[in-house]
Amino acid sequence: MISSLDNNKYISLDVLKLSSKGFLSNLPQENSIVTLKVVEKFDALYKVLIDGEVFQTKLPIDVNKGDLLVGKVITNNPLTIGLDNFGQLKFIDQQVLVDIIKKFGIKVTKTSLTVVEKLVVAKKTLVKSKVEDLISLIDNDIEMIDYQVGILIGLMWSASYQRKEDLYEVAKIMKEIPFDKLCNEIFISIIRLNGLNLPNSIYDEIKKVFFVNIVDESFPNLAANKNSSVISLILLLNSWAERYINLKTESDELNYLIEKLIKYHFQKKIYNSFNFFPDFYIIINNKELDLVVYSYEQLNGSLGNKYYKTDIICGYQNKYKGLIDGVFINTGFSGKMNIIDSVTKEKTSIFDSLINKIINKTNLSINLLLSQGYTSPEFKYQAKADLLNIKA
Amino acid sequence: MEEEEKLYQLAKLKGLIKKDSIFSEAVKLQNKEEKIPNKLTGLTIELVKLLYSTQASKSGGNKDDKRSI
Repeated sequence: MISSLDNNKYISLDVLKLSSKGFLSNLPQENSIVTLKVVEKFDALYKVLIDGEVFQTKLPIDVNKGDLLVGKVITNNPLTIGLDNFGQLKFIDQQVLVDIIKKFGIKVTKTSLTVVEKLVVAKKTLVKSKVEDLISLIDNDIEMIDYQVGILIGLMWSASYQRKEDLYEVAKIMKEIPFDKLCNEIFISIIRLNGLNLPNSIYDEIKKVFFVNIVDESFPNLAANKNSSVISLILLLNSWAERYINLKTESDELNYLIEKLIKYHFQKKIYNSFNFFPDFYIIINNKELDLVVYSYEQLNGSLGNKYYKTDIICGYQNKYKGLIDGVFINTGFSGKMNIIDSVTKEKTSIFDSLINKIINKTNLSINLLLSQGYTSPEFKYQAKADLLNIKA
Repeated sequence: MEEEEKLYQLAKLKGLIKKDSIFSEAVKLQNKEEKIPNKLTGLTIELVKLLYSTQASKSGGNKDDKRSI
């Protein structure tokens, strides 16, 4: 029987309120898990089979005829099904995960449990074909860590996703090297390159794209459009690598840096698609160079305003100098600054005086707590990146 | 965009992505312009200056590196 539906509307994005013209004898029980099999798709509407009855509905995700979804019955009269409310963020019942996997007819394994748990936490609509794709990607690509899985979930549940094969290389690029480590390798490569006798045009271009002088105010600012500047730099380096093909040291170093910069560019693009903007620059502090890796995560406030979780890590490899993290809104910044030295009265005095100068210069309100502390840069970044898993 | 195409060709040439891969297409679709407020990027540099100034020149760097900055 095909039941045409009245009052078919969303309560929220992933909750379907279904009602039938006809009498339904076998309504599913509240809190039970049901499958929704897509039997027909036309325009934005789907006909789905639920416990032997066919309903017509919209779905919050684009699926194909034959796809199977899993939902939880919120009320059975009228029939209301939630597609994303299987658990709370902090507690997911293992038995619920097993029930979902069994409803899909998928083998219960460590991978399938992990995948479904991540999807439930991320409040994604559970679609069998996508779950199977994700399981096979992870099974084929061992040792994936959390944020990489989170990124795959985000890409796979996006509107542009077509086939899992498209994601193999994204996974590969993300998996090979964490972003902060990549920045460290680029930094070290640039220092090595600087010891070679290459044309000034190369050094000038690198400076233009990556260098900030924190002492000399007359030093040019960073290029406005960094992404396209990076591409131009890579192509410039490549043209010189070809010219220096017979000079092994020079061409090897140039090719090494080119490869790292390409990975850096690709990783940034992938992260950017999650409103996560990591980057780095090299600072000139008097005549010393140092690395600053930072990230902004754009978040939406309840009133539609945007704010940015900001992390700035100063130092490279084991030469950690300090970090700043906090939240930026249009009118100001609030957070903390950790330095490696103890916080003396003298340092506090310098800090307070400089803060006031920044406030005057930027017209922003700044609430920054100065303290002594050490955080492994890599650990810090990892902890940050793991959050993507929740967002995805 | 022309330079970006060259970059993908170069990435393929170097074996970083496969020939005929649609990796580039998948990512291009999601290519967001960085819309970070200028105030934030400017403030980031000011905060970095603040950190290094507060630590008052004890910060390391690479004194042994030969550089021509």
